[in-house]
Amino acid sequence: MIKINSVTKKYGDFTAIENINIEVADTSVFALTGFNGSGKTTLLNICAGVVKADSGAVLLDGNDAFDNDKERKNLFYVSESMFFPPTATVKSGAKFYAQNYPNFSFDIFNSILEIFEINSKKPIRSLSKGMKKQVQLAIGFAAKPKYLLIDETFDGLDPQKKELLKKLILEYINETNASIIIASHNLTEVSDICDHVAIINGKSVVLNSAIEDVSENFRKVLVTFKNAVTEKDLESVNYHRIKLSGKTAQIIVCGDVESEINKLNNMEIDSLESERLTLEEVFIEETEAENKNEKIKSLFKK
Amino acid sequence: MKRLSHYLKNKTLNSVTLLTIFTVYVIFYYTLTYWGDLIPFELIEYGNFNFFLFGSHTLESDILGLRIHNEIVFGFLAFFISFLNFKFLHKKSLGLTTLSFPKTRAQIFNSKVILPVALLISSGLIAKTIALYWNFSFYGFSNELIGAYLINVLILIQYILVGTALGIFGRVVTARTFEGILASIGFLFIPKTIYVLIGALAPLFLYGHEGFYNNDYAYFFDPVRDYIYGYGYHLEIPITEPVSYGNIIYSAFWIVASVIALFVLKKYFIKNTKHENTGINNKIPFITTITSAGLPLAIATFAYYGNTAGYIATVAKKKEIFVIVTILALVFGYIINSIITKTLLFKKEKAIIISIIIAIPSIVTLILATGGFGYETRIPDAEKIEKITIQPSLSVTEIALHEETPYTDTAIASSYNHYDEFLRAESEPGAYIKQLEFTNKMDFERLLALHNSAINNKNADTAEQFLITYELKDGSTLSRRYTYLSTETVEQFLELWETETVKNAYKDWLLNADDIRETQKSAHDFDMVYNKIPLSKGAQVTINSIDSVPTILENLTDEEFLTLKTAIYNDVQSLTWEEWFKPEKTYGNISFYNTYVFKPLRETDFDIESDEYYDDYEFYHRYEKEVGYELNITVTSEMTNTVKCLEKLGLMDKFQRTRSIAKGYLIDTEECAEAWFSTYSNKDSVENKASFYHSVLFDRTSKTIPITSNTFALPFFDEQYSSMVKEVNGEELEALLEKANTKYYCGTDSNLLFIWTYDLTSDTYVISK
Repeated sequence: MIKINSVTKKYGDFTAIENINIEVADTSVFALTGFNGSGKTTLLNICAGVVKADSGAVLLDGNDAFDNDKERKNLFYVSESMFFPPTATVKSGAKFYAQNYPNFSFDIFNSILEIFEINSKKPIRSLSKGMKKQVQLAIGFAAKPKYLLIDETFDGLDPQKKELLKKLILEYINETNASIIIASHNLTEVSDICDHVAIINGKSVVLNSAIEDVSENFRKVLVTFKNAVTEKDLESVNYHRIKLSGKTAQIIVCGDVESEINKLNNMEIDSLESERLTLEEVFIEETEAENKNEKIKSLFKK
Repeated sequence: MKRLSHYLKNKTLNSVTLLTIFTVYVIFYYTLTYWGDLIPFELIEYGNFNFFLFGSHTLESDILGLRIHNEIVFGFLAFFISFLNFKFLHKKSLGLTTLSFPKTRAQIFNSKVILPVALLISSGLIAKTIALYWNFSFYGFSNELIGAYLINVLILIQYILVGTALGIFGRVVTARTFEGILASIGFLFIPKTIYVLIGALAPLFLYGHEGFYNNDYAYFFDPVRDYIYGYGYHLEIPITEPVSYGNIIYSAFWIVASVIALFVLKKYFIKNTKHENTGINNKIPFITTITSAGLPLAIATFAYYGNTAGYIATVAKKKEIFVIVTILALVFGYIINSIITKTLLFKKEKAIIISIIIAIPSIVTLILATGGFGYETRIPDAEKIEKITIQPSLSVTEIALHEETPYTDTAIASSYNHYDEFLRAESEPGAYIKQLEFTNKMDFERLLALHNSAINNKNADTAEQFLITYELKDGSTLSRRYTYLSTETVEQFLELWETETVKNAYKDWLLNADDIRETQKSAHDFDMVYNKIPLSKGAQVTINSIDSVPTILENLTDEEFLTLKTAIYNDVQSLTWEEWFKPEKTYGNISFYNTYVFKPLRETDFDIESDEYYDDYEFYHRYEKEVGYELNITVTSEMTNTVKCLEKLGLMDKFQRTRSIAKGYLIDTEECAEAWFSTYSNKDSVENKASFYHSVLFDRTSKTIPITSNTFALPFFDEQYSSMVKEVNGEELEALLEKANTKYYCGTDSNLLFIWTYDLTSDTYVISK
């Protein structure tokens, strides 16, 4: 289990993340999402022991991850910019890493390369961005870590490779009971394989939930009232956001959604339709990106 | 041991480059340098000197122009490898990867230090052990070889550790590669540079300060002294020399210092190295700023201009120049630093640097204004003095920079030898009183008057200098050195001629041979022994005419020899300083040439026979050495006893000019002065006419004499100056020489240019106008 315990990190006056608490269980794929610069990579760097938290700690099975060689033998970090010696081939690049990971399996590595159709004799510098990512992921899986951290997981991969990667991840946790944290903006892909998701919004975690609970806890409700209503008329409803237009209202409700919908049904309405939000819609809601829509709409009218 | 082997096996942490470099080095070392290093054939060629004994040089001088110790190559490799190995501190992706490995920071540090150091030391040891084997084969087994081998190994380890510590220092304390390189170089050179610079400039800031230069302290605190200050110093001298406590302590000190530095850097790396700072300027603002640009540049600028400024400050007495140069140098360094570190000129973090820039010129100004808080005017009370030692000018080269004599009339000029002997303490033994020790209280007043004169008369009339050292009754000492003396001070110095101490020095040399021989038995200082050798009965006596034609007096009897020496001594005793240094007429000179055989020292040699003296410098060479010296006395009209003696012996006519001059060259000095900065060293620059050396040039008009007596400098025969040179016959030159009246001195004609040359037929020519 990976336990991120009240972790705070500041760079000078800038607070990158503040008081983050997350738990990643065994046999679990945990998605870490958030807008650019929200602190995902910082959090992964702290988990990998590269960066020391100013306060709090990341615990791997109860032991602090920072400067802990024993626990980190079971952790592999597929960072966004993994280093390879300038002249390294795919194979020698893997060797560069293999010596530090006691469980590294070249059989697994070669097999994954075959799946991705990559020639192990090719110099790494000649590979495309996506192919480099595939090599990095192959090294990560071949190290057979108990904790696998992947930054920008689907970045640069084509749709076919994305599917292959998803299968690899699911197969890996089934076989090894590993804990995997994947950081990504690609919420559609993430929602396919993750069982948990956390959204970091600037400094703190704004959502930390099981994937199935996300759609349960967020609903978009379209209501047509008999008479025109104001926000004051809907004070009794627990909504996340509301958009009124005469007699109609688009309401995002959260929490105990059934109870809130019942409240709306008890009002004077003509019709009511509700639908679950996708993870992407939840992300937009939580990161308040919707608020900027009006600004964008008016931007080029000036 | 298990942990150690772990580090040694861990190749990944040390990167592939390490092994690449090592392979290249091995090929370089064992092929290119094999013949010069390991085979002891060179030993035969160099005779008594044990050159190349331990493969000390990787390159012969005739290959690259420099001999480089392989220890230095090892040191450089250690620096290069450690700098590469810690590259992850300056490269984000490498840092991310390295720090994410399942290693503690201590393990990472140790791996990156222990493996390269172990590889370098072991490869060096192999090379040196092979060399030891070769040397055993050549010389046979000896403890001295073992000792020299161990010292070499110690030096090897020293260089490797120093190089490693420097490389890591550059990486750990900075966040960018360029800054790292500057920091490493700065850390290596700054301490010694500051020390030497302060020592060199102190006499200029504080009038009378004797200064210090590349002394033992400066060398000791320089971890790569041979690299900077002399190639092949300690391994080119005889093999027993490296086996000294000095070398062992020096190397051991730097080994310990490097190990401590590595521990400190490790602690810093573990506790304070943050990946997020990689590539960011001013990781440690103070160190980065000081080492990256500010101080090195300021020092370099200061040192460069300081030399010129020092000259101006001393000669022209414009010490304010120091304040200006200091401020300019520091501000310049600060601006360059700001450019390099891309920081704003007046950022808050730079307050400490700005403070230094303000503080240093302020301190300099304060010192100049107060005369070093009384330092410059301090003279001990006569009552408290135990002994006073005077050392006149120590080096002809130093003087030659600003060659100018205080006297300009022909008569005085012709006795210039006397003046030279007394005031300049040139290297010729016996003739010059190198160091005068005064314990006679009657003499103290003259010495205090001399010191007072030096303090109060600061005109830089001459290039003369002296060092005065007081040993006080309370056991303390006080030393002052005065340079570019005024005419008044020089005359005060010349008055010392009349002290008993000086006259007794001549007595020692001329007449007290037996007393001195006793001293030699316990003397281990070669110079002291050499300088006090008395004239022996067998000395060759030569009279040199005014035009330098020698007459060897082969038939001089012992009695006549003693009479002549006594006559000279009596003149020395009776003449006043003015009579001695400012004679009416100069006849020529008498030279005495002594030869001694120096024999090797054995335990039984303490019972030294007459005319046998040992030289412990030669001890290790194990061979006899013949040493001779020449003493010259200029005979003047004031030396009545000597003149009478020579007349009685019928030798006065030997002083007469005997040769005529065949030809010479007239040179237009006014124009040539401009050409003096073009110097030549080709002796045969004028084909079939003359070969030139020991040229001395004077230009009385321009007052600038930049030519030293040891540097050949004759631009006048260059094509572009040929119009200035006119060939003339001997008669014309004779006429000119009569006017010049000397071959060493310019005489009264202020436009006289004087060059002393020898031509291919060994006749002496004087070129003058």
